[in-house]
Amino acid sequence: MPAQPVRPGQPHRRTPGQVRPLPHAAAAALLALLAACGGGGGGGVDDAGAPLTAATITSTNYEGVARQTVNAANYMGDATGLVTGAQLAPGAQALFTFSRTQALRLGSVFAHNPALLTGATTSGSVACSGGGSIAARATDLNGNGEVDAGDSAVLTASNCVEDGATINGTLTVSFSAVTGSFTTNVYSATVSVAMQGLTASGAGGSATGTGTFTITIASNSATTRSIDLLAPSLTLSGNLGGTNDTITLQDYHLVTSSGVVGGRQRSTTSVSGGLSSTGVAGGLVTLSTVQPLVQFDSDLYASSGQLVATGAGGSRLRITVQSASTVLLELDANGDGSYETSTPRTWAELI
Amino acid sequence: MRRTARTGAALLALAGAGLPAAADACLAPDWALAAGAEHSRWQEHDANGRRLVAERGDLATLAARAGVQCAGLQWQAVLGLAAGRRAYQGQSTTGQPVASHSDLRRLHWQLAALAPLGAPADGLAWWAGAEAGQALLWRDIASAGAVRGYPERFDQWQAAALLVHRRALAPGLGLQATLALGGGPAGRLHLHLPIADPALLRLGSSRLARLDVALLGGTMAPGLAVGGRTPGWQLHLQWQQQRTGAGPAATLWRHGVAVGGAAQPAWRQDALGLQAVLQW
Repeated sequence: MPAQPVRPGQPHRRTPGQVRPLPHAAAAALLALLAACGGGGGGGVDDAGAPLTAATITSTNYEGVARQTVNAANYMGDATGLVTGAQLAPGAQALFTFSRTQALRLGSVFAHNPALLTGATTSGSVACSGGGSIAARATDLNGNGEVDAGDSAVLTASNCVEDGATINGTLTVSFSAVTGSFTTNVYSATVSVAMQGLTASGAGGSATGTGTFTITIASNSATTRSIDLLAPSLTLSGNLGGTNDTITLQDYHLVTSSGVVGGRQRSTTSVSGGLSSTGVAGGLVTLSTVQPLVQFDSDLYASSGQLVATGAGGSRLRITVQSASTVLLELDANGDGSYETSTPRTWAELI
Repeated sequence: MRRTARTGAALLALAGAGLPAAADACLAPDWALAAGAEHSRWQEHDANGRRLVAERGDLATLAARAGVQCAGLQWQAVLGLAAGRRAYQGQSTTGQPVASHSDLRRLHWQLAALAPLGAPADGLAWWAGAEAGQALLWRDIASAGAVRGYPERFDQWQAAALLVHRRALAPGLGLQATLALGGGPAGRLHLHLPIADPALLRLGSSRLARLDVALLGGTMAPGLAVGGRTPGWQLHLQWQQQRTGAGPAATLWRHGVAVGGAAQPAWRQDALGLQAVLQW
């Protein structure tokens, strides 16, 4: 998109270094879409470039499939983690968390440092809380200092330590179809995000995302909003203590909405599309939501909902949330419509 | 823990009974029981030197010691226990600050040999030697709200060179200072995370420094010997520092599926302890 000439006065409304937080909506849009990105670019192929084929869900891999499924449904959730004794490898959510945090800082780039201003494109660098930095290049298409349609930013992290992980790589964010104002709680936006080798690493391993996805976010109030994430193909490559695992999301669709119900903040999440993991089933399983996952803000995990993962030959895994602490896994390995294996698991064992 | 305890007990028995029975040149064994307290500090750092975790707290300690002197060499076997709680200030794996606590149990055994450095003169005596042993540490880090804790077990072998100085201060009163410098090979960490099957991680190698200053009461052994069947009491003030390097990353598995990776960061442990010893 072409840069527009700077209109006198507009880009210089803030003093250098003064940070104006990105409006909530923009931040939410960014973080959501960034959170949603598990990496991309796989295009529905495996590591060797061959098209992904359906995997059979068996008695030996169904727990792994269940774990990948519920994690894929939780990519936009908050990770609470474990206490540090040993150091763990960052997972997909480390990239998501990083993206969220940095999205919240994007407002400082849109605040137009006059010394670095070139047309409507602003360049700058922000320090990370644990060391390292992020080089930011933002294009405020109309130079109004607000995040709106046509605006974009490129964020390049260099040994940026945030949220327990060291981040390197580039993230590109492009806004479109923005309505309302991000400075309020009433807005909507469609945003495209590209992760270009964005890597979160730690002593235990690393996670790398590469690819593009689109997210649409709508907010009607401070407590009511919805996020719709669509990823034709996203790939997340992980190094887990020396063992590699590549997760591919194909035609992945995640819809989550939140609002106040009965005086409690509640979120519902539905997920569909293809999911593969080289370390689990070795091929693609198709996710569908029978009942959306429902989680209240006072709970660590969803307390109701049902997901189904379908593999080759009609093999199926049904995941039924029994409570905010337990989940029932049921396996129909031969595809005859009958679940012959039933295993209760705690959420803590899966996420 | 049972196996290590059995090993330590066997060493005690060996030092206290077996060796003297087997060697005519051995003197009668001496025995000691020690009880005390230890202030323990523990810090973990990442590869860039950033502190990840700081713990501090007090442990109760208990130890039994058997010694025997054979052909001029003083042999000692020690079996020790410690237990207590440290306050935990650290972070979650997602980088959020966490305050919690860890419950600790430690079991260690040591075998040491000391030889006199010349004949004692003017109420002064020097001894040199070496020690080797194993330490097992159970550390159970408590959950803090939504951030989940988990148990760990450290297993390390260490050896150290010893230098002991004894001097008589007055009739029935002596002073002893012991310096130990050493280290150990890469140990092991048994990790029980809620998200994975129990995992075994390798640790880095370790370095150890210890200084023990003791007031000795009772009859001094002939020649100011470290051991000897001389009933009495001792009061030990002991400082110890141990540094252990980071271990390599290992894969975490769950039912045969890789679910994560983990590595134990470098850590430093400092302890300052006070022990009362009864010897007979």
